[in-house]
Amino acid sequence: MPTLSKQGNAADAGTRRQSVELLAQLPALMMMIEQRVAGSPNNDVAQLIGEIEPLRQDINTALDQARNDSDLQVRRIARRALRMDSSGQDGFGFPLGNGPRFPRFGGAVP
Amino acid sequence: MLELLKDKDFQIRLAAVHGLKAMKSDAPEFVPALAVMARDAENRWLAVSVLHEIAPASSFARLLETLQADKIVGPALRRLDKAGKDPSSVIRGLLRDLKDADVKVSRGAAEALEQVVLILPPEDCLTLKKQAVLPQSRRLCPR
Repeated sequence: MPTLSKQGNAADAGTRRQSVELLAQLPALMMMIEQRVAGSPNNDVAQLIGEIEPLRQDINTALDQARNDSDLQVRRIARRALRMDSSGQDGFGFPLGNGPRFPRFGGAVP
Repeated sequence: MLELLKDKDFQIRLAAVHGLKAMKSDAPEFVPALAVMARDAENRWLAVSVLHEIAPASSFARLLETLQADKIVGPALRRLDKAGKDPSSVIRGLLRDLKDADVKVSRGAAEALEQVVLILPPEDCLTLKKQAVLPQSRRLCPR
């Protein structure tokens, strides 16, 4: 397990950069999971939606901290990731609510 | 129809996909074209939605092959070759790599996992819960 809490506080800027690069991948993963489980007729799957928001907040908090890092690259990566997360785009790069949602199970392509 | 799937206009491609979904089991000859369509990250979700409907038995394997050839997520998925090609095995392998001490490996696994979630057949979405994808992702967050 890459202990990002340690890596995020590492003295070496390169290690912190790698740590924040991994963190920066997670918002896109969250969005994709959200797209896929939304509207699932399976309750167990649909319940995953409720787990995403708290996790997203943890990711954003960690990225927010990285935005104040002493290393320019770390700050840039964190800022970019935070911008993407708040850009109002869905997992497919379309504006939230306007873009294509993943087709519902057995349903028509919206 | 093949030409329509490649049309520059998104609405035309969308209409072609609608048509194929309506044809369902009468559209197996379009499977190779849809697999090609899935190579393009922008059109992948469209191809995925139809492939799961017209070729449910082979859609995941075909789409996984497409991702394995992808420049960005291919390397992380090719690392899993021995893990198996079913959704559950692929996700298990990616979650293992997500915890790798080498951040390049874990970052690649995160990118690949996002795309594997996209190509998951609807009935396999439960794997995300069974394999605790969200709790495992949470562990990556600094506390």
